[in-house]
Amino acid sequence: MSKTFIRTACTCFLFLLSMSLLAGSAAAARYEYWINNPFLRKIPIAIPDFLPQTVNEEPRQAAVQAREWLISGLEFVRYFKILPPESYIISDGESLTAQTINFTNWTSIGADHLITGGLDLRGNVLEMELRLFDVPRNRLIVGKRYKGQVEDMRKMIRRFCVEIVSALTDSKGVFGTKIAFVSNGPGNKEIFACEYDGFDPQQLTSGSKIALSPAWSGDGTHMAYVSYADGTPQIFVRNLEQKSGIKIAYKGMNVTPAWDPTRFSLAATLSLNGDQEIYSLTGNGKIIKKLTNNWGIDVSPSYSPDGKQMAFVSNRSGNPQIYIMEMDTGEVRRVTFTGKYNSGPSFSPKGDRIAYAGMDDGTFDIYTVRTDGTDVQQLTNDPGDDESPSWSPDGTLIAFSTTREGKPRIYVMTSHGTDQNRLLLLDGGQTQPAWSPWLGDY
Amino acid sequence: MQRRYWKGLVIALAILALACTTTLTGCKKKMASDPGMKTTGTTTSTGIYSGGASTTAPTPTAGGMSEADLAAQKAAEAKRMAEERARQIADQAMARFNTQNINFAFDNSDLSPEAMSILKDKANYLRQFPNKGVLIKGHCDDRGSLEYNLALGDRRANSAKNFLTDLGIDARRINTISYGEEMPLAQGQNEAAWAVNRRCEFALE
Repeated sequence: MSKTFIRTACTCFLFLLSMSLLAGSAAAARYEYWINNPFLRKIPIAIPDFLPQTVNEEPRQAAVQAREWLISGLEFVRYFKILPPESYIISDGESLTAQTINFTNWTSIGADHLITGGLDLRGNVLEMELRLFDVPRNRLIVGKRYKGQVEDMRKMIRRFCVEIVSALTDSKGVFGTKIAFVSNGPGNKEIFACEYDGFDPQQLTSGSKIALSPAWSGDGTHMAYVSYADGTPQIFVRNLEQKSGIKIAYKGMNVTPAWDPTRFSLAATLSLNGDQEIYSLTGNGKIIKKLTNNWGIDVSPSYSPDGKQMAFVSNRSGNPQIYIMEMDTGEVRRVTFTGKYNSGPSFSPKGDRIAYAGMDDGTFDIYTVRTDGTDVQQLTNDPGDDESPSWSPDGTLIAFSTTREGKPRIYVMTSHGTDQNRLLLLDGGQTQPAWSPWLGDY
Repeated sequence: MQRRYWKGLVIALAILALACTTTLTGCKKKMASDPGMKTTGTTTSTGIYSGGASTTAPTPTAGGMSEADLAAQKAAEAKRMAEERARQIADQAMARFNTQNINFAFDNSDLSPEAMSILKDKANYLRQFPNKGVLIKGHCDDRGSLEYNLALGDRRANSAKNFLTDLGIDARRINTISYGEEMPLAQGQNEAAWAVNRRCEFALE
């Protein structure tokens, strides 16, 4: 399986140290309001060129690359605005620390925050100092020094992005996450995963004939997916660290796995008796319980973050609609009432909304709706099909597949539908994105 | 499209076969006229028949073949022809079984009257060849959700299976698999392509 995971497992080997340069004790500005209302404004940040400590070519190039990665990482989360460098007024002698910085100049260009970076590259050893400042208050919020191999530069940047987002918001953001998806680039559909921003796509499966519906376990250690490797659709559950796995292969079909985020347990659609019902299963594939009981199609489960509810698709009303089941009572209520074809539900990480794909005028768009069925919001509107929404674990972003370019591609947007951009460009077509939970420092 | 193609092929074959037999019999008649008259002067039909034998082997010139040998040869040939014809019919039936799909309406797994008549034909075949089993593959057009379509394809395959078992075919002889929208027959985003893709395929095993 992928090199990425081997690399992940080996990270403890890397001597990547970081230390706080200065404890930013005072409470940092909190931006929940802006993060959750992307229509209002984005947080303005200035990021001047990083300063290499030596004037050689290699450290200079590394400084450029590090700053580019920092900017693309912060732009990806879609609530920062990186102010254009042309507007920067940098005083003589201005360096990395608060003592040298002329904050009035940064205030005058409208920066709420300033990030300075300095690095040194000796042989293969990279040292980087990164600082985030509160411009109006003229002070440091967080500063870190990282030391490691030059190959670890992206990881250092990612770590500092986590520091920034943790300091400014109530969450860790998406920097420690990955996105799994299906690609038919290898000639048939296989499962892939890339970093949160589309970087470093890796093929996770091979020989599947058809692989579909990747699903991360709540702790990110396992992935379930559908594979036709043995002829019929079966669910493979793979331990991503140990590379071991089991197959769920009941008679009929075994499809649409979804993990209960609170337990080593999943829900999936089986057709043991010719009727497609959702069952709960242990992570090892043993049936715990038949959850739905309806002569018709029940498919595509998605658990609420507390595991107490499950959204799913059923055609019990005559066409596919989204329903929610209370797991303790088994009580089912319908959530979507508009449109004749609603599918692919995904519970938001806060548990307050469901994202889904709804068909209107013959094509699919992404919608969200409150779990009580009110406040339907249409997030996408284009001539292609937008399907398979998947929330980032901090709830600010939604990944989805779209045919707006012709071939199916993975796009990411805010959970309000703004800033729709392609995640990555790969051979073939990509579908069924699945955003991982927080995976930590991969 | 596929179905129409096969229908056309079968009709073309039938016409060809008919044409062949008429020309052959015409030919036989001509050649038979001499020896038929010469030997026994039996009815025209016998004359034709013996003439048929004379085309396969040059009996009159070869001489020394007894009446019994001739009869045995004739019988063997007739048997061979019959077997050939039976095999051809069986091959055609098998080809039809494997290539004739049934189609469905959008987001629907109900069998149309046309689908039912095709399935009755397949049930007849399965009754005739009780040692054969069948794999029914359920497919969908590419509209709608991929996951829902996996279930819909499963449902379509099971509709066909249930109809066959209702007609008395042992359920153990029937396997089903759903491919959802993963294996379209026709490309294109139009009703003609979608209609072809909403189908069950059948494979004897």
